[in-house]
Amino acid sequence: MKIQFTLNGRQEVLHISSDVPLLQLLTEYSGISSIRPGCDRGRCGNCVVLVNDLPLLSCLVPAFDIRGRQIVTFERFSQTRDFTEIQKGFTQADALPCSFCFASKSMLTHGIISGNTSPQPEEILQAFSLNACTCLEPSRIVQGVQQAGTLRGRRRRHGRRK
Amino acid sequence: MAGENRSPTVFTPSSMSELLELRRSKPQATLWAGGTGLMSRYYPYPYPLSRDIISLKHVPEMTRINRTERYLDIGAAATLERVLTVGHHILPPVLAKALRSVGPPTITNQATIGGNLCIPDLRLNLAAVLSLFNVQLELKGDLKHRLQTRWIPLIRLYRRDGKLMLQGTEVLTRVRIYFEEGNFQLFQQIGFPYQHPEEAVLFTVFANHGQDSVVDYRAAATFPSVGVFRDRDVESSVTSKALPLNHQEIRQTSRLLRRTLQEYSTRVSPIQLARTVRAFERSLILLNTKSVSR
Ligand SMILES: Cc1cc2nc3c(=O)[nH]c(=O)nc-3n(C[C@H](O)[C@H](O)[C@H](O)COP(=O)(O)OP(=O)(O)OC[C@H]3O[C@@H](n4cnc5c(N)ncnc54)[C@H](O)[C@@H]3O)c2cc1C
Ligand code: FES
Ligand code: FES
Repeated sequence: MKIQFTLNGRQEVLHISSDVPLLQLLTEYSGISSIRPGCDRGRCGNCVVLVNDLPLLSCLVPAFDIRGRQIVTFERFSQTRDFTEIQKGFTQADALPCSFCFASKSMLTHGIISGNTSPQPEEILQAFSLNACTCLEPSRIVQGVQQAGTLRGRRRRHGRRK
Repeated sequence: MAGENRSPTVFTPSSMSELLELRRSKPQATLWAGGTGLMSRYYPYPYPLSRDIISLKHVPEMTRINRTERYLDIGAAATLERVLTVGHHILPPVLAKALRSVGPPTITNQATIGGNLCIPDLRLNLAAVLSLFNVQLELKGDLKHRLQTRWIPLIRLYRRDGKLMLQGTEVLTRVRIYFEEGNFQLFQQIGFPYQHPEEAVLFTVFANHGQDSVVDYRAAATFPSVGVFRDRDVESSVTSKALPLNHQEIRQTSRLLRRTLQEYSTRVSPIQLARTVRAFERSLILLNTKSVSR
């Protein structure tokens, strides 16, 4: 099947089986190396990409579903101001995740604070329920996301979105 | 390229009539809603057989959400996250909690209400809670070679053994939820329905009470690999009771629940039985506490 989509701002066209998971499409055919899958069945939460700006698990999205859509992976997201703000928020809260999971956790955070810059702890913990790990205390994650939300809110108020 | 010789043909109807026509001409094709169940459970890639897929989300009626004074109409292919967003402030809290419990936004941005109710061999987080309300489902499809639309109450979507009762080429197209007020609402997920369906229980209560008595008490439980359980005798053993319920009354009603569950299905496991009885007793104690603190 012909799959036409935008990857990190660039038009892509692939001839590929219609049900190939986006995860495989990105890692095997589009040269994306930032995703670190841990399960390929929606359980580990570590394959997040942005599809039309919504965080989704790329292992659960079939190729036919991305036709005409905008896919952003960590390669591009990590160069945006949205990301620097999230990194700053996590650093200020002393909650910076490791390099194995930061790609997914930062795009997940982006999904939360894009809708609500003052998320409540329950909302944050629910959003991170698949991505929970033993290296970071839940309260740290909450503080990191809330701090990133504060920075995003401040930028919005100043009307300086990039 | 990646198994191109077995690449499923994907149909993306853009109107209801096109969808129903495709359903009629390709009855074996897989209906694809959010795909979270299909990708994680039923057709992990590479699935060895070629098959046709009918994608539901390009049919506007299937994703539309409408609100009137009396009810919320939800297209079956609306994502759970959209239901939560559009229904913010109007969904009964117990339903909002059940919707949230389905998973993080990475799942609920994709999973749909129809997919949750129609997953073939699992009853999941929404079935029990929706069974407590006046919820009507719109089904469309070929019945006896005629295109038909019918509305059924949610409980009639499932057989007693939990299996889906869609007939012929029927598709679930709409879920209509009538608004109701309840001053005691509870949703509890115990265990993991997807990973351990034989052990997990989804228990939910919707009730109205005054300071002195229970006016209306409804409770339901989902046993993911068995079905949805709701029993009028158990409910009426609580309705009209004076509050607070005493220890004796709580024990009596929970014994009735245990007996009824044992008669309901032998497939309810001992741990599910114990979990349901405990959740039920807990709900009565919470109800007592709430009535006293009013
Ligand atoms: C790892 C993991 C764990 C999960 N755990 C839970 C959990 O514990 N509880 C929970 O509630 N959810 C859970 N989910 C989410 C679950 O997959 C969805 O709630 C739902 O069951 C599937 O919705 P979907 O829209 O993705 O359906 P799909 O995967 O697209 O479809 C599911 C089935 O329903 C059929 N179908 C879909 N729509 C219709 C329709 N309109 N008419 C007729 N048939 C239809 C399809 O043909 C298919 O057989 C989990 C998901 C994952 C990945
Ligand atoms: S690879 Fe584990 S959730 Fe996608
Ligand atoms: S796995 Fe990365 S911080 Fe725990």
